[in-house]
Amino acid sequence: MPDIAFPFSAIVGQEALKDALLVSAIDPNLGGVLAFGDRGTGKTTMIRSLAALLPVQSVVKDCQFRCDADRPAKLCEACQGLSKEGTLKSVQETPPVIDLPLGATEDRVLGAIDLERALGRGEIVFEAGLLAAAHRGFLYVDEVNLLDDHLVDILLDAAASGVNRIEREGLSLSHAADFVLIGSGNPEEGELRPQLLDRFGVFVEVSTPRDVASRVEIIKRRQAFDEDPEGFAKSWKRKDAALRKRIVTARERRPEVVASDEILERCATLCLSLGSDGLRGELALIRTATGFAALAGKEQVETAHLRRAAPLALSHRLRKDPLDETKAIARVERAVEDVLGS
Amino acid sequence: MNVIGPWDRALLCGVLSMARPDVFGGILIRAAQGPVLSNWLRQVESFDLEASRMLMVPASVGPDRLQASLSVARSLSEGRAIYQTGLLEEAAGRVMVVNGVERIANDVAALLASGLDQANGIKAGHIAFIGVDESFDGENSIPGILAERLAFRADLHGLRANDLNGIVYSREDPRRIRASMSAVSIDEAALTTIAAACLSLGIRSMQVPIFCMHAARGLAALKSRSTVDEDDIAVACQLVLPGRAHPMPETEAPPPQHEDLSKSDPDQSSSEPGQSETDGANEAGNGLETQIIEAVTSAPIMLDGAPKKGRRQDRSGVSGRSGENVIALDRGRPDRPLKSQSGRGRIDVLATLRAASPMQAARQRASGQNGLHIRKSDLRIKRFRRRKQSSVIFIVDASGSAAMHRMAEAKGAVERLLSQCYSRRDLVSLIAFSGEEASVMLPPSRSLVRARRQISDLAGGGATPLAHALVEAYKLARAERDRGRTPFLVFLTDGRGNITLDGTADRAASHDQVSNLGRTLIKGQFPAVFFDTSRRPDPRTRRLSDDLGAQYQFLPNADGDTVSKIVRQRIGTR
Ligand SMILES: [Zn+2]
Repeated sequence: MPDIAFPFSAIVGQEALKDALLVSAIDPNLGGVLAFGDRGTGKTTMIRSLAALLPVQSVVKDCQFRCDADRPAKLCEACQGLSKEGTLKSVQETPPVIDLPLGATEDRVLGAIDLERALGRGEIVFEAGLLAAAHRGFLYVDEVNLLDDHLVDILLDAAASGVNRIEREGLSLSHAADFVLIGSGNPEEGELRPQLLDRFGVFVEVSTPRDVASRVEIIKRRQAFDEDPEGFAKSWKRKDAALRKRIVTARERRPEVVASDEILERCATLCLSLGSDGLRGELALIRTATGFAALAGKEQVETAHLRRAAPLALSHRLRKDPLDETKAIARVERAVEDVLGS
Repeated sequence: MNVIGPWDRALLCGVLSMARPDVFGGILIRAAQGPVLSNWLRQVESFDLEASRMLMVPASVGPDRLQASLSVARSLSEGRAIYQTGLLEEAAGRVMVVNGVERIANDVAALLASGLDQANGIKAGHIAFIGVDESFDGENSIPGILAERLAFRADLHGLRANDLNGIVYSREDPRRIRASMSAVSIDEAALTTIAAACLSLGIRSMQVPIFCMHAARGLAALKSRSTVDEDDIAVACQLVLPGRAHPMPETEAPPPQHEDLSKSDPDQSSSEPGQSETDGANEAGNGLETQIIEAVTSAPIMLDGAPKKGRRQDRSGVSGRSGENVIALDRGRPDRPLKSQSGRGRIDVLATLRAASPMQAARQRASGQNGLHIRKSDLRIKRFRRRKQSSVIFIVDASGSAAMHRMAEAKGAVERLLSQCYSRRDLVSLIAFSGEEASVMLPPSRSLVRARRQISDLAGGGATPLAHALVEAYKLARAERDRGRTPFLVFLTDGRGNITLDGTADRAASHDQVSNLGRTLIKGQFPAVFFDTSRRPDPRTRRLSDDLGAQYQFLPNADGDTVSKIVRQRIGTR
């Protein structure tokens, strides 16, 4: 595994996961992606590829909160000091992808007192955790279904609010933690509580291709990449650059994209017909559809965008009927056909 | 085709892993402790190009020991925080061996996996990981998150010290592979054979064929060739695929993916093969593919990937609804530390230091003494969370005329329980009995997906081995209790056993045996509910239920909805 990321455009298949990641890159506050299914589908590769594709960020040098050097109003206390002195230095970095392994402690995730300085010099200094490290990037949790519920709660809170608040051990502080949460898991190893499911913005069922030709293509590209990462990346550079441009434009365009009353009504009808609980589904549906509209360069959300967004935004929010073996995604697709026409 | 013996296989796994730990991750090897394993480990150590000592790690290793952590003893004696390097850090550039890898906890497996990713994702300091699976039956599964990162599977069971002959390798072999592997090419036909073999074996992960591809190239490099031949592919598959075969459920027929690959070609498309070429390759590879599948499926099987037993969920760190946990001071998973009132329990040193640290400067000033000042009020004790986790065991009569209906209703009840039990994290298992045996159809599981897949509502018919069922139920309930769960038995039968444990078809003898077994094995030991599915209530069945110490319910149509409701009530009120 070399330092160069596998080109995003060279990833074979996995369209739903690509969609989910792209729309999260355009709208980081969508609430995270939950990818359930087979192992060995290259989820991690895909996240790293996407991060490498995104524009570099201007980060204050050595700041543990990854402050944005271009936004003086949002600097942390230490960086504000540097800024006043005029000694603030910035560096350009690709958005971070941080792994949160099962077994990581709460201290490690949230951050904690820097013990060395506290014991040695009696200073209370905060040592940032993984949430700070993932700021302005991605936080990847494999086996999120096996993670302690209270940790998942913390992650989802931070992902939704963009802030990590700490109140313990004589510490009282908060810092920005704006990241896209990506959880993955294998349903055979246990399911996620519905309360937690619902809080993920979008849901994807991942599986590896079942036809030999696609599989051979995947292996070939991986081999070519492993042999000569630079050369391989170069051969896909144009495609990746075009996609980067689309993402950047879509990010700028997204706040301007409007959804007509008619579209909003269709959203509501769709959610009602699926009996998907709560307002979250509706909000996620409209946000996801808005992301797709922005990505397509449109000014208005269209039915086609809703159609593409519905399985991502709704299939994890259906009430479970143990006797209905129909896959959730198929149920959503059926409802989409009924409500939006085929 | 070249079918290789277990010793050769194990050695080749070692040679390839030492050549490119960054590509292969390592080896999962099934072996008992003893001279054969020691011999193999010594040889692998001698292949190590860095010539460093192996790092031996016990399966009981805690998460805190893997990463750099505060060294409690030294911090206390020196009055400042002193960190101890983590084992993952110490393993950089070395071979890391975990003995009894089938026993490691999920969170440890996840930390190891993440550590391997980090170490092997950079230019130097790679870690070759060897997991020694010491289980005899291969019944315990290795956490998938770790297993999927290890390319090779080997098995030393049944080998004796004087079987260990064959090709001898030296450090020159991995050295040659490392130097020339990247120049070895592999053609479309070879890749097609590999991809098709993996698919036929039901292996979904894309990482597995990629391991095979690299292994085949490594083997070619070992023989100083620059192209992969059929032999390399066959041997590579025998090193990577055993134990990974996974029957694909019939209900999930592969959706044909007509993806137009050409549209996502790179900018400078150079050697994109035409469709006809792929077809030709497929034909040529067919014979080899069949041989590979035979060789792989006849090799001793070691399970990994999907969990086979409920054990994994048990260690998963998933807690139930917090209100239902009992905070205990002695055992269970660590919970957040508690401020000590009485000084009872084990001291959580790290939390204690944390609590004391903000006060150090003030206390040092006040006392005029340097060093660490700890007051009683700083003391924190470890709390453990003990779950009152239920394990519901269904014992279902699959004999007689109403068997099919009974199985279907039982399956429905299991699915309802599983889909309604998220927050409780209870487990459900199912034993079916008919003919001359009772067998565990669904081992304790929390997964709806698995329950659907594994419980077939096909009934066996034939005799009614109720005595066998009681013995199986007892064995499973005991095992569950040993795992710290509370078993709960659910019988669905008309209670008319007609075959004794020694296989004699004798209704009266069977009845006596069953009531004896019930009184000695079940009654007073395990709570139970007995659903009598006879057409008419029968006092004899009622007495049998009493012998089991079970709550009796007459339920002639064995309706799954009612069963799940009653069971839920019962486990909810305990
Ligand atoms: Zn800052």
